[in-house]
Amino acid sequence: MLPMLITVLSILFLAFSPATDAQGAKRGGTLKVAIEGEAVNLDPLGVGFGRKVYREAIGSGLVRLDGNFNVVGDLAKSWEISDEGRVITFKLHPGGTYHDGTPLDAASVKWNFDIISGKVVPTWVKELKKKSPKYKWRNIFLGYLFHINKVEVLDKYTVRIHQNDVGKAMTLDAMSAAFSRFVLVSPKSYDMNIEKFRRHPVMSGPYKFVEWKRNRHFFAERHKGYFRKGLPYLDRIEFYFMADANQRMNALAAGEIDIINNLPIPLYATAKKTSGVKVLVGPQTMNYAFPINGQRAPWKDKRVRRALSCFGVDRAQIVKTALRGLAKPWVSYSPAGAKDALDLTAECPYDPAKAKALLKEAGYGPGGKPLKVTLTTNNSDPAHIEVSQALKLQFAKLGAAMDIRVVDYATWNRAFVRQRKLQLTLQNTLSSRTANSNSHTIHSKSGIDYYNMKDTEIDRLLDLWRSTIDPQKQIGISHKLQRYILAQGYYPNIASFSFLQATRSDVKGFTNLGKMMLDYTSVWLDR
Amino acid sequence: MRAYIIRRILLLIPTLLGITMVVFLTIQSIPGDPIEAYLGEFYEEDVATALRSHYGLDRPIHVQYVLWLGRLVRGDWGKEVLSGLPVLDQILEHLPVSLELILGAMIVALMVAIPAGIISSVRPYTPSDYTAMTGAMVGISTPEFFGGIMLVLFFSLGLGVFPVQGYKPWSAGAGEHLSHMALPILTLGLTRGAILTRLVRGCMLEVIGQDYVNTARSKGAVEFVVILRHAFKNALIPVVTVMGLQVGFLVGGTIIVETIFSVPGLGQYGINAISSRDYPAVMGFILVSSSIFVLANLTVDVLYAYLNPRIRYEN
Amino acid sequence: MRTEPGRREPAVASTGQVDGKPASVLESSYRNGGEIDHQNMLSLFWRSLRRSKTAVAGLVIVVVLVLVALSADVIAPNSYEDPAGPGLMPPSLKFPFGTDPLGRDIFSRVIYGTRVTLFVGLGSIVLAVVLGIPLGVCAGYYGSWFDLISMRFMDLILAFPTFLLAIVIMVILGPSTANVVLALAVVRIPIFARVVRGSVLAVKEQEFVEGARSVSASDFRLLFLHVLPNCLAPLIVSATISIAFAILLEANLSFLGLGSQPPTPSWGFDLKQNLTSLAVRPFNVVAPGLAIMATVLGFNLFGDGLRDALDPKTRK
Repeated sequence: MLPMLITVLSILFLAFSPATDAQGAKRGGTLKVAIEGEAVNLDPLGVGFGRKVYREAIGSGLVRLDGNFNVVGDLAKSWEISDEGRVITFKLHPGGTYHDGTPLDAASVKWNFDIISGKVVPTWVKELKKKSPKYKWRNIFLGYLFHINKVEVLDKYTVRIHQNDVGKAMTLDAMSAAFSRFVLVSPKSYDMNIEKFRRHPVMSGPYKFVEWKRNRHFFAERHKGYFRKGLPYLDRIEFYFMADANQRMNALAAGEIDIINNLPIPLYATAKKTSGVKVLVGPQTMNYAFPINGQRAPWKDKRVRRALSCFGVDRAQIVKTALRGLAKPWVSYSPAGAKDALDLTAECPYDPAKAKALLKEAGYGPGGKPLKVTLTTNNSDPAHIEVSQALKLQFAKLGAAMDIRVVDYATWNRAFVRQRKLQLTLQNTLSSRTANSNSHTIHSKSGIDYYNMKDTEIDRLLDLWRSTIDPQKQIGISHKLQRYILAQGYYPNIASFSFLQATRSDVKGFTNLGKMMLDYTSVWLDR
Repeated sequence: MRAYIIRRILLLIPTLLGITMVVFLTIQSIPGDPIEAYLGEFYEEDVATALRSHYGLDRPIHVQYVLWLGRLVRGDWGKEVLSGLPVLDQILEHLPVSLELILGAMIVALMVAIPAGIISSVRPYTPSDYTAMTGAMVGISTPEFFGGIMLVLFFSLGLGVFPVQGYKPWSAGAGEHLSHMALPILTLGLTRGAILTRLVRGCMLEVIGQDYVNTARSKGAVEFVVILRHAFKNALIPVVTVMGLQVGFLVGGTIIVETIFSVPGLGQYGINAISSRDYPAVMGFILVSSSIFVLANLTVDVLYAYLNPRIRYEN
Repeated sequence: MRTEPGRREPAVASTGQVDGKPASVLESSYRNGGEIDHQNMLSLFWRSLRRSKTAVAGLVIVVVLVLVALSADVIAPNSYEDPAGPGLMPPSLKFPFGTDPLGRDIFSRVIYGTRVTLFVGLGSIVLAVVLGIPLGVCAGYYGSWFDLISMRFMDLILAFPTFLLAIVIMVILGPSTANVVLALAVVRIPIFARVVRGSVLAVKEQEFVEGARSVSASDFRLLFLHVLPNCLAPLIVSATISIAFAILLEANLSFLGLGSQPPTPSWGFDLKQNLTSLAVRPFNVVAPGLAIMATVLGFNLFGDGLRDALDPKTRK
């Protein structure tokens, strides 16, 4: 009797204290977030939305990730998979609206799928085509939702997708995060005037767009028609663009902002010793690698690849210095924090003698050709410059001379991704849940496989993964893939590391979801 | 005087035309183009080709230049390739911040230079002169970014008087706004002030020894009045002539200072535009930055002609 | 537009803008027939230079820097490239400026950095002078369309804010130490070309008056010999102060990542690179900045002293 009374009383108490909810979360307030890069425009479907943060803050999709990187429902209350994974039926949360008041229902979800696949062409695209017939609209989601054939509306809040066999296993993975979360746009606002939408996006997430001043700030306020009732807690969220990492840190220390979205490794020590600040370390879902161009000399020779990617690198030393001990030496393609991680690091001990022997066998070194490589990196991350210098010294010990070139991101991107002419570079990858998460970089048919492995065995294993529904079998395929990549020396990895974020201590309910997803829905301020 | 000014303004046109032409031609030799920057890592070649043709980037360069110029004259500065936003709007949004920095820095520079320069010149080769000149020399020899970092260490991290970085618009309140602008303006202003201090001192020393100043003195004028009315007024002329040059350095300085303090001005806009190869934006940025410099020089020349009438008739 | 006749451009240190007046100590050491008394010139120059304490201080700094650069291999306790200890050590006897995140000795990097700094500072100005002098001589000598075009182009270069132009050139060329030298030379060429052109015109006029004839091609060599000594003084002063200016620009470019490439020890780049440790190890970060200041100060003081020594007007 007594416990029950307490429960009743506490419920009553909670019900009558408007500023607190069932978990003790306080309502109201403004959250200020510092971001390191700026979007070019606010069209979430167009290429170049650039900054996930805005999309995540004001958008919502069918599914999302939880703190353990499991796929959970977002707008979808539940879903059912049938026909060996080829059909997925989503039940939607009822009653929500887009920010412009358009009902958030199955028909609007179907419209969103249909403009991606090209079955429906937005009016503005038609008009542009009239003006310049060669114009092609390209949306970022087509690249990984290519396998969806048909979308059906079953009733107002039920939608069903039909998909091809290859690809069916990656739908939920891709829609929840991967490199771009699938978010919905209001058909009414998106269809007509793209110019306006690029400056004033209308979506369906917990916050509603207010104002964007490029290179300055992005403001959004609570969306009253959000489908999850009672959320979000905050009244308003404000993003401030600060290109320089030190400024972000200083602003956080001064209490001018509440969250640093991306804390560079070199600033970890500073953040740790700053009072009133806490550092959120996510799972190690990112790799720090030095990609080589598989189709260029000297990397065409497997022995050279093995020498430099496996035995020739003292991972522990780089982790200790440039990466400040915040990473884990790691050689596998799937990062240490992924669902299908396979620890093969013991197979690549630091062994300069063995590396030299392999190089000699390939005809390099004393008595053979001198080995000279150029590492081209970009200045977007201070760690790149430190890691490149550490690598240079290690290569020198193997008799390989390295030149370092630091260029800006645009130049690097062109050379690395488009022209594939870089011999060697550095990259901290996006977060991976599984080996498939970033597989567009290695699948030779993706068109953007800038690792340039061009190996049919890799394609075969990836296609197998993408058509396998059973998670255990998927892991088995993934392990096979990782062993194969390591044996071939395709993927010179240094370490797995965590996405770092820092917040003021009174920011609650915020979870570090890696570089995959950002979620401010249940954040509240203890002030 | 009016004819002189009109002639000078007309002379601006070939200069600015030359600048835009040089930039338009050279910028195309930067590796990478805006379409690649726009599409990022994931696109197919035919999409890029289509977009290039859509933006007219596949036409011969001189045709592009003439088209660009034609639109510019009609007030259409083009759209940023990356965002689709009009370049002119973007520049007008970023420009006032930089102008405020430049103007503020100029005021700070003069507020430092005039008193310090006068005091030094009135009592040359005394401890106060040596102090001022040493300070000026150190100021001249400090790169802006290093000066900015030292000011942050002292005022923000040490004393906690000013925020470390960031920008608040006037709408957030004048106090908020000015406290954020204080360190960037100080950084720029002190360096320029150091240069002007030496100049004011040098010019004052030259003037003070001259006959008419001594005459004024002998007529029993108070020293203070002599210095300000006779000496300083004449020493001002050479100071004015270098102001145009100083604006040129300030335009460059804003790029650094806006980067350090994260101030969303024209310099930041320009650096972003350059690194994303957004040609219309780069063109707009360079045109406006050079115009500020060129116009400042024009103003100075006109002012100089006004102060020194001989000039107007020589030409 | 800035060639306005009669426009006075006062000499200002560190802007590198020097008035083109040929009046100098060199002039007073002419004998009849334009022969120069070198001994007289040097001793006069040296005496007036020595009188200025600041000039001597500047000279001392410059000489020390040159010595440090030349003997960097001997005096630097550690390599600028290899780690010498753990990362981010505070300043100590072993590491006077501490270590950087990779464990490299910052003191040694600063010492080796003098090489890069002096190479860029001296190299770019020597290049600008070497390109600017013939340009100025030709423009002044041939006159007409060549003068018009070349000087309009110089005006165009000067119509850009200098730093902006340097950035644009660096983006086009791509970052490297050699390209910095090239970019900084380009933005400085007009200064020297103009000084020389002004002197050529003055000499031409003088010859014309004296000889009552126009200058012919056979006089070209003579002109060269007349003009150069005439404008040597403003050239030297302008060049010295330009070195200070070039070093400042190099630091700014490196700070933006548009300069020398790692692991080349560039002061501006190191400062920017280590800025993330400012709160943890302030002195380690600031040390290269102090080196930049000292170097620029040295050249500015020396340039100032030179001007006072060479220009009789300011000599006290």
